[in-house]
Amino acid sequence: MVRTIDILLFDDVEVLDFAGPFEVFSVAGARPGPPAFQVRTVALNPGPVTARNGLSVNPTHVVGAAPIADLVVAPGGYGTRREIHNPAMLAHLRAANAVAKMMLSVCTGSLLFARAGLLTGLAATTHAGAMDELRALGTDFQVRPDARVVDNGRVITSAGISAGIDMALHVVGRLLGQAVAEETAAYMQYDWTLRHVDRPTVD
Amino acid sequence: MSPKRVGFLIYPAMQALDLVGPMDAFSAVTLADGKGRPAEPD
Repeated sequence: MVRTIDILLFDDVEVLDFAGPFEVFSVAGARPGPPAFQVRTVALNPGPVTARNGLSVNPTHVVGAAPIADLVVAPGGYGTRREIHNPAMLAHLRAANAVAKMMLSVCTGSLLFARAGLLTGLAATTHAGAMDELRALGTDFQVRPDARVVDNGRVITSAGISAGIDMALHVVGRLLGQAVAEETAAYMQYDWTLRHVDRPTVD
Repeated sequence: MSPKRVGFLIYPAMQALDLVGPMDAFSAVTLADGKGRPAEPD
């Protein structure tokens, strides 16, 4: 079974926020045997995206050109401060939330989730320097400032930048088993030591 | 201390995180004398 994964890109997206999960899901999906994941980079408009620090990236898909993926990843970065006011981005996130099996955010990607109303009744985290910004976006969700990954079941958020790697490995473990997650981290030569995941629904 | 320029060699089919990891680390550096990029939450 191939699961599709859309990683949203926009100008001023933080590079490691999207490249960390991109690498984890791509590596996990490329193991011997039938592919487990098809990872796509998706933007609202055609053409390259200029990520943080000037990195130019060519998304593989435009929103609407393909069915919404099974898993949708919202990275963070300064661009989120603009995108939380972008009706097209918010509409896409709401549409994705209605059909995707999992909604994942990295860093300040959770600001997008909050603004789109995806966090109602849930717990979430974000970059350590953006907790107040997240709190300011609503009172109908709980902010967990000490968490690296918050797993609500279908909606999962992670802390700043590198935490997206831990979140993606956690998701690989959930979907394909812990052995595959371990194998993925080992292939990446990633020291996967920060493994604690907050699970509010079962706490 | 003035900021140093860091160049990255990229090519088709390179490993994405091989580029992005060091790029993010160098980009996030704040110089002690305040002449570098200020620390900002992403």
